[in-house]
Amino acid sequence: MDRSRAALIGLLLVPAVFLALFYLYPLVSILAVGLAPGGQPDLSGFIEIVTSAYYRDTLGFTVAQAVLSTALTLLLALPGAYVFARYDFPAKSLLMALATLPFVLPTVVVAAAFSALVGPRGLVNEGLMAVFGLESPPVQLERTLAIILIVHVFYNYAVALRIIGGYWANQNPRMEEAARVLGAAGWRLWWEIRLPVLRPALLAAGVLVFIFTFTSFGVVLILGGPRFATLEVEIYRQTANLLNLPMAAGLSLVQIGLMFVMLAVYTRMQRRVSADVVSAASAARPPRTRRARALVSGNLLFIAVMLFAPLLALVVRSFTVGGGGFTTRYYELLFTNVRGSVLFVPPVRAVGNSLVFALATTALAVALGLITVYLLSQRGSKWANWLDPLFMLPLATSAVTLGFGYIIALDEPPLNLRASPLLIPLAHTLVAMPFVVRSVLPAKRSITPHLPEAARVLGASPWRVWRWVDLPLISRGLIVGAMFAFTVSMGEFGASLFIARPDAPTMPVVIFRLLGQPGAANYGQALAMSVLLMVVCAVGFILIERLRTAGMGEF
Amino acid sequence: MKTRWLVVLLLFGLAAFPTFAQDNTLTLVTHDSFNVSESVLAAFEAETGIRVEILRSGDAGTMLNQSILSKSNPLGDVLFGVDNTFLGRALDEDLFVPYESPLLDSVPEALRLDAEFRVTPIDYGDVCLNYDIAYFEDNNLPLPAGLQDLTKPDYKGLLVVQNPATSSPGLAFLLATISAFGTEGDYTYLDFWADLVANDVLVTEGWEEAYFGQFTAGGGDGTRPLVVSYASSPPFTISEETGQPTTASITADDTCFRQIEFAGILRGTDNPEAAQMWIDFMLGPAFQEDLPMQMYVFPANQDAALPDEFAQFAAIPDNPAVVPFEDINANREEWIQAWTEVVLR
Amino acid sequence: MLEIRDVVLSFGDLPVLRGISLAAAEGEIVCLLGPSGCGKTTLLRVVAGLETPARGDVIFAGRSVREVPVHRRGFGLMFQDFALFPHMDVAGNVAFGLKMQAVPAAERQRQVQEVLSLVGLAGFERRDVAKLSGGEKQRVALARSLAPSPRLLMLDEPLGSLDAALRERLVIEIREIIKQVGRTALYVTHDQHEAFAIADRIAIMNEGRFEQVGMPEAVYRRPASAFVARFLGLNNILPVAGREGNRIRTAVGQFRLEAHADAEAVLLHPDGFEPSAAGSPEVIAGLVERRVFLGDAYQFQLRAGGVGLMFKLPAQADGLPQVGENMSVRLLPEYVVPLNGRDGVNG
Repeated sequence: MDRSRAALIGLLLVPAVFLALFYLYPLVSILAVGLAPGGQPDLSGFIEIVTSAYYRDTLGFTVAQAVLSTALTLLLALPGAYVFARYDFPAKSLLMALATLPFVLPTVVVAAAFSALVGPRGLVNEGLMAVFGLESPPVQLERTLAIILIVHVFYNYAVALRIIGGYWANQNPRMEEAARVLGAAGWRLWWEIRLPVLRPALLAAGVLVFIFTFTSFGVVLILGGPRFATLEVEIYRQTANLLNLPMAAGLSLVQIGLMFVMLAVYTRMQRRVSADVVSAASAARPPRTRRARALVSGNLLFIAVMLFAPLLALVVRSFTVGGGGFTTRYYELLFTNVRGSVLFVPPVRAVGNSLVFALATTALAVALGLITVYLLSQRGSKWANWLDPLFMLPLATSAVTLGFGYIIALDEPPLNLRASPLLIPLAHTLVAMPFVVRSVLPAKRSITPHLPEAARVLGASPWRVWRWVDLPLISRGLIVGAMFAFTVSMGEFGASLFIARPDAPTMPVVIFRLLGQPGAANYGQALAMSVLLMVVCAVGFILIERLRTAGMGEF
Repeated sequence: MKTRWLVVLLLFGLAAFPTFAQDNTLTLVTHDSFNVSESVLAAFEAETGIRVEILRSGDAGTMLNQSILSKSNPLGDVLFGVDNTFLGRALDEDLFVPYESPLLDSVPEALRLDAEFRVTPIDYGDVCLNYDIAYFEDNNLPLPAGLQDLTKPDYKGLLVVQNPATSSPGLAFLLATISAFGTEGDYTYLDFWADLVANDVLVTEGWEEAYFGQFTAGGGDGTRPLVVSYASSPPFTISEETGQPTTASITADDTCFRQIEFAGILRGTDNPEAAQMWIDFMLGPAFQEDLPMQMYVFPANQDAALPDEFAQFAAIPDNPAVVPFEDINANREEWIQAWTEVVLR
Repeated sequence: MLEIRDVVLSFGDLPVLRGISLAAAEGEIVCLLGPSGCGKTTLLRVVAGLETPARGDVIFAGRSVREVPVHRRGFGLMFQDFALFPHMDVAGNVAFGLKMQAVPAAERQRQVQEVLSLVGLAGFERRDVAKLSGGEKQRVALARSLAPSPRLLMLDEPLGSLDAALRERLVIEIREIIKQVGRTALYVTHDQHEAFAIADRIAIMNEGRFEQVGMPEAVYRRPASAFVARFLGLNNILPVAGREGNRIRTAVGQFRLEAHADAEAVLLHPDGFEPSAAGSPEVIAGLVERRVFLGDAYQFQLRAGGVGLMFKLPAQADGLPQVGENMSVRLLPEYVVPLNGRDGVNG
């Protein structure tokens, strides 16, 4: 009994050790170099941040755009989440899978997609100019705050849709009907019932989207242009370009500190919510009234315009780059090593590399994330209040800061990982784990202690209790978490680029390489590879969704 | 039952700590634009028995900064890819041990910047304005004859450049303007940039967005026919139908800036002989002649033959702008800061 | 007060309500009784406005409510699973309807307290609804639907999730509360005892239609169809083998029917049997297959004419036969009930 208890405690500590080793240790190392180079404390960076109007403005802009982006994303995703939670319609799970695609695309590619759609020479402007005989493009979105916000919504819509929609589907639909019968309608229904009931999901989605947009890098740089800068951008410039480590460390601390406070508040709020999870069969049904049909088609139309139109523009462009009409040339070129380069990778191998890393990441993130969930839901543990936000922090930490931390911290055997390909799944897991934790924790918390106790009384071993009581109840959250872990790994290229060995590039790394070379042929191939990345991910999503409905049943 | 998991994780943990004990391996630390032909590299490995590990860590700046941070325990044996805009920082940090390659005799004097041989020039590339040939022909627009022309109304809204704070060609172009207009006097480089801003110059963060996103002939949906890129870019825009490139570079005097890329043996290497062999190899004809089509740069070794496309379509400016690397190192941040104030704020 | 007129509704291809009509007088409690899936919950939802019927109308207080949206109907609906608002305490739940009617806070508080004490939950105002017991949740749900004084109260299997003892007690309480506030009510259940205890009138539903509507006693004493009889646990249903005027012939003997002499099946109501001397006319003779002592009575199963008949006899009766012995019984004439059996008749 004692031995198994010790083993259990050991198991629970594994994710904590993982976090300490691969996150805290490198982070503290690099921050120490910045704040106390040579052992002498140097707070000049801090002082400049506090006194300079530029950094205050940067912080102000970072917060403002993140708040706006988050609010906009939640606002637009809410009706969509309602539709997905309450109605059944053809190809629903396929649509949900496709809506997650933007999440995997590199920013440069997304910029290309939006440029192809709404740029000055994009499809929309060309169409409008032709129809109305205009001289100049009527839609001018380049380098505006508006395009930053739109692309943030494009990226994060699926996050909000999945988290809110998944939670909503588990809520008793009669609750809302009860409110309507009692006289609630319109905004009062939203304000008094729907929003409060959805609060845990809104908070979860809001916090994730806020973190993503607060630390937004590529979107702000490429679509906003150099005039806009977030803290993350500034940290990158100070680290990678200027090697001003005191300043970078100061900015990193400000960013991480802010995020930690916000996450601590959030996890505390989240713990107090007692969710009334109905694990009944899905309450979704086909839209029967005209109103319901209008609502469903309206939202699907929105998703089509907001998410699929840019993706489609990208697909179209991958066949038409170079202006010579439709051609499959760029796809063919992907398979040919024109210059006999040692770094040439046939697409199949890039796909293979990406899949291997993504599957390793998914497995690792799910295993560690699951254990973390149990660690965090130990009853009466005070430190869970601090551990929970800590596990989320990797999401809020600049990749370049952590990358530099790896370089100086993980440089001695037995932890000489600087040049190891294992660093990729490890780094990806760090970022993917919070998704698993956030998706599973609410479901785990809603399991009343009576259930496992009842099962144990019936003679089930702890393992069987977990397998037959816990797992079915948390499996929906687990699938969502696994899906995001897979996505994060497939689309990530910062860490991959940083540590990727030339013999094992992932798909995003190949895209990035192609974009580093001039000429329409390279550009066309980059777009073709992006389309391939989307296809592989879409297939992956659909398979994972299948797993849920076939293997484990619909819970 | 759960202890089994623990064992699995432990095993995974152990697997994560491979030992690097291969003796005759050379690790090349480089940036993500590095490339080489399979056959060329294989010949080196076969000839010397040295296995080459290529470690690409981000762009040139990131790679250099990583190497500086890890200099007490270097990432590899040889570093390739530091250029004259950042050379001063690398030398100040004392990253390299000197080595004088016998092949240096074939390298022109102008490329050999370090008298102490801590770094060896491998290639150079000229950052020049590229233009969309069709656009200028269709609009009967003459090419700008020099940088000053870019501030004329004819070229309003036509140019896209990169942010020198984050982009290597962006910094190179800034240096070209500093060389042309100076930092003191009636009309400094900042006055020129103020005029450029008034003439609606567009600044992007990186080269990719400028070339593919904003340039009219880059393949994307851009609207600007003038872009800061490389003199070696046009060969990559050769049209399949006409056999002619759709772009060309402007190589007028003082409009281009020459970037010279160096390799150096990292201090602390435990394989200095292999490192020296690699430096010699990089300056040798096989690698030098492979360079242009792999990395779009010109070989430093003047004995190396240029590939046809380069000989035909990649222009070499006669008089590129020159700023001594020591000056660059001393003033880089200040110049960029002043530029940022004028152009971005 | 309430009139449901020929309501038809389908879910996709599946017909759920096939022409339902029903009227309820003011203050009357009408119970919709039927097996699960018969459409009774859907009918409630139609009246509440949560479903839109393909045809038919709901008239309340002389006016059609077809075009009145759910939240303006002013009806109360208590759900089977209570559907309490988890983000509000007990008082918040109960006050919700009043709040929607813009009742001032002070008045709201007074009414909440009044309703809570009516359902026996005085002092529970600040309790968290997630921490209540099943019975307490049920009372909160009832209080919530009562608080805004709905013109019509609908309860959908309100006791379904409770245990039998609690159910028995609460059903009487609910009837008293409804009668106390004097509301018209529709009450849905699949439990006949619950229905008998609470209803002024019972409507028995089957496959989207009413089989029979009437007072509980009438429905029980004179079920209109084999379905109703069987649903109420009355299983002595025999096919009519032949007829002669108003006399019919069955497997166990001949009976006289006062009306509906053309019925194809009859129910020999188990409450109408009495011991009889062998050989007298209209006597049923057979073999005792089972005899179960119930305290005040014996439950008999008698095999006669190849059919097993079930009935109870008072325990005080003398000389009741044992299992395996012969027995003769007589059926009082008014307990021979003609059935318009659409469905099959068993032996």
